[in-house]
Amino acid sequence: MLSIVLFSTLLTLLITMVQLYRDYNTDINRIETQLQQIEDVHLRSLSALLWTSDANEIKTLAEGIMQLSDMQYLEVRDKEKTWVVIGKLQGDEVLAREYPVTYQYKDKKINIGTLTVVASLSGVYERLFDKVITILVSNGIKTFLVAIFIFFIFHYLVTRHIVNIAMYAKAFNINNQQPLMLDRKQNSNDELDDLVEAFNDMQSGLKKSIDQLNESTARYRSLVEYSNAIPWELDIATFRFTYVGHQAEKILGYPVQDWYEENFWADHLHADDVEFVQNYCQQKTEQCQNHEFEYRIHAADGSVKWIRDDVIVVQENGVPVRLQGFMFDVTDSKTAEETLLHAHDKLEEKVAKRTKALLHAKDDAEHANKIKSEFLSRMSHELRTPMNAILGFGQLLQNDKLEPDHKESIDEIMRAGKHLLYLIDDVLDLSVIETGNISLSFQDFKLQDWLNECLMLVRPMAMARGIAINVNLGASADEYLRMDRERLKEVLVNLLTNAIKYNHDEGSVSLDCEIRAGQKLRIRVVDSGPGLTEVQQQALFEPFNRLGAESSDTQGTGIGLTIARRLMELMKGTIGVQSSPGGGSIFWIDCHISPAVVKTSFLSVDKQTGDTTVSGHSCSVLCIEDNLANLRLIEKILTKQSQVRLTTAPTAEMGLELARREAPDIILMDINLPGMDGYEALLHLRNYQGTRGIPVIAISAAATPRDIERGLAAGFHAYITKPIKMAELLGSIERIAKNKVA
Amino acid sequence: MRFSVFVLVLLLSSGASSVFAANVLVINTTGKPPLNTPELSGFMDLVTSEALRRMGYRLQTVQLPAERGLANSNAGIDDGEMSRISGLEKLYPNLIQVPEKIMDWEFNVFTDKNIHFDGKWSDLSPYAVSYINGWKILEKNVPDKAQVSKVKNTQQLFAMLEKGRTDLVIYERWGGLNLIQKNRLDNIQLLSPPLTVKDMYIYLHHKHKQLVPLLARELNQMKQDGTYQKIFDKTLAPLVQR
Repeated sequence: MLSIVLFSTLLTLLITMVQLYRDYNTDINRIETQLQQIEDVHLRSLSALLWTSDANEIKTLAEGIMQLSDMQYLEVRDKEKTWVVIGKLQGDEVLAREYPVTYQYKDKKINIGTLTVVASLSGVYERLFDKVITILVSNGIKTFLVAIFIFFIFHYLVTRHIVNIAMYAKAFNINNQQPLMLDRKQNSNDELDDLVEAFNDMQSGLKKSIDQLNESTARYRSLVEYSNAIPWELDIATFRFTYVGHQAEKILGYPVQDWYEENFWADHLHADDVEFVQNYCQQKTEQCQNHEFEYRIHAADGSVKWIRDDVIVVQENGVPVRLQGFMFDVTDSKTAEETLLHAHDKLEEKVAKRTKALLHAKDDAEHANKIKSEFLSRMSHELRTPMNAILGFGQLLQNDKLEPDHKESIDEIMRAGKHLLYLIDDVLDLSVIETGNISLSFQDFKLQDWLNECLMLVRPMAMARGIAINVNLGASADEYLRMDRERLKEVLVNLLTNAIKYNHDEGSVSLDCEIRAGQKLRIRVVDSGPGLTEVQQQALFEPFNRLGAESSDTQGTGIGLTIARRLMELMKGTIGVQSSPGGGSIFWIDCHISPAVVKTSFLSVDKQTGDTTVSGHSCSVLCIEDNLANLRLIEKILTKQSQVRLTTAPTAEMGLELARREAPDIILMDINLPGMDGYEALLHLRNYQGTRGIPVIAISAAATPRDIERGLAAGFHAYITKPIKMAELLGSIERIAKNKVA
Repeated sequence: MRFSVFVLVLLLSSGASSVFAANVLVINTTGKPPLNTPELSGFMDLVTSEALRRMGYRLQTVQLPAERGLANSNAGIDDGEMSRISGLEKLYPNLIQVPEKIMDWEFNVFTDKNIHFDGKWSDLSPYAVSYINGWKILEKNVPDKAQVSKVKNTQQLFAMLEKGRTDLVIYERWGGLNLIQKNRLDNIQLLSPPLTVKDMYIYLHHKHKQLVPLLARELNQMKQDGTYQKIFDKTLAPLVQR
């Protein structure tokens, strides 16, 4: 109540002061307004009266001005006399104005006198004083009553509830879960309800947090109590332990109270570790860095224990004040580690010895592999060189007009030669594939053209046995494939050859194609042969396993299907078989269909003669070849082409001379030349301005993928292996000639 | 001179005393010295008194503002007006003009400056002009271009000239001359000719209509027998002889 009285008194005084100040301002403003009116209104009249020296009217006007409230003194005078003086000048609390009286005479404004008016503020103060008591009393009563009213309202609506909340908070017990309720209308949904709700939410949240904290504390206490580590805390200022877990007694044997003695821990450190431990701890503590370290300490039983200490540096305001940590007994692991290190050293010694032996074996294997590669390359070269002559001249003779019996002999020579070549190629291919040295050249090609090429290769064989080959391309006749054309041809020819070889006379082979999902094309070769058992099908793709055919007349190496499967795998295709004894066999391969259209072949085939020719583009060709048989073969092939003008040279040196002199369109370069070899000759051609741009085609019996890759990498435009295939040679020349024209 | 005026006044006073007992006419006037004075020694006082004395009446004057005097006379409160222009009976039907004029009323220009003046109203245009407030004839004729100051009395009027607050003042001839002489305003001169000259007449209330022809006759007789001139010579002539 006293506070209400004080408050209302202060408020009353404040309001009264404000009201008095406003009244004072109002009165002052009113007087100022009066003075302004005198200046605005009366001064003009006075001017006219003073001008005409109308003393009576001047006096009347002055008396009128003095009737205005709070006027104390007025004086009108001119240079000669004082016309009117009313009132007396007294006191300092006045507002005085002195107005010059002017008159507009002709074109000049003449100063004809002065009006002095003085307003007294004493009246203002008297009125204010009269009001003070009234305002104080009335405002005091009003303020007091309003304050009492507000107090009771506020007490009823707010304060009593806040007191209840405070009492509830004072008696708050987290385990006493009676929610806070206020004695008021429910669901008011005002700030107090929000406060109560927030308080109850806070209480439940606090309870939950405390429960979690208790649970967590219990968990950590349990962990600490039952752990095998020694928890500890140390005051840095005194460097004495303030807490050591009971595990210390179990692990090191000393009673816990001993640890609280000064320097107990330091005194029991192993003598060899004291300096390190003290320096390390001091450095890390000064840097406020948590750290861990290992040291040895003497246990109560006289043994030495290895301890790993994990230390946390606790700071206050950036200054380390205490250390906390866990000591772990790592004696066992240290012992095991030492044992392990010993074993490791021994193992490393063994490994070094073994590595040395393996390196030696690796060197031996690489040497043997090199010898094998050189052998295969040499074998290929040595076998292919005579085969080149045999098959080459055989091809030329086949194109000549011969007697029927001679032609039959030539054909037989060709068949035998080709078979021999196939055998060589197969063995070499398998070797290359097995060593992973094969390189594939994916290209887009038309299915029908490619199938025709494949069929053309096997038709003579089929016709010889009276076996009909039926082809059904269906909707896929115009499709293009994206595969390694030659390798895929190798696979399909193998399947067709097998279908013919392992068939009965007058049997049938059919080839059909089917577009499958995923841009795949399945080519199926169906034969009317004896079929295969399940066991045979499982062994079908094993190398050199001919499934008993080795005792028959049927020729073969037994590695064709092995190569076919590896090739299909390399080309990301698949190969498979369906067969049953007596029901024939179906071999199939799945190939990738090309979305693009391949270029049309530059080769053209004479439909009547079957000859392959260069179409349209005339060119000059220089052939550098030391082997006369091969040279004659090339001459025979190229001189049939009316557009080709051939020049030959037996050595690289002569060839270079001719090239510089005649600048041929194309150079055919044998690699294995006497003296300067084909690679060196190519380098000379590239270094000479006049021959730098001439395309050079390598011709070599070195036919391994590595040889071909090396040749192309050296800068040969094409690499043709011996024995020379007419179509391949002419195709390469045609392509280069056409590019040159373009 | 002074002695003769004294004797004349004495005679007029003694002669009238027998009559006064029965007939007094209260006449309003606005005139100032030297035409009217409270002691009835002004020019018009003496002329009117003499004329009424010859008729057996005694004069009593009352100084009232012009409008108030006319209203009182017309209502019969007072008996008449001493000097008014002709034609007022149209506005105040109870008043009757005495057909013999009592005097000429001149409005003259007074100045302390050397000004060329031909007696036309338009000659006032370039100057600051002052006159006493209330004169309708002046308000009507003073040109708008002139800077006019209106005052309440003759003291103010001539003080304006003295203080250099006006170029000209317009005032009745005899009143102006009287003031100049009385206050020794030697630097102020009367300009001729006058701006206007008006015949001034006595008016009587209708109840005295039988006196009107008598009064006219006596006034005329005074002019004929030289009494009128004698009064003029004694009251006004000295003002023009300085």
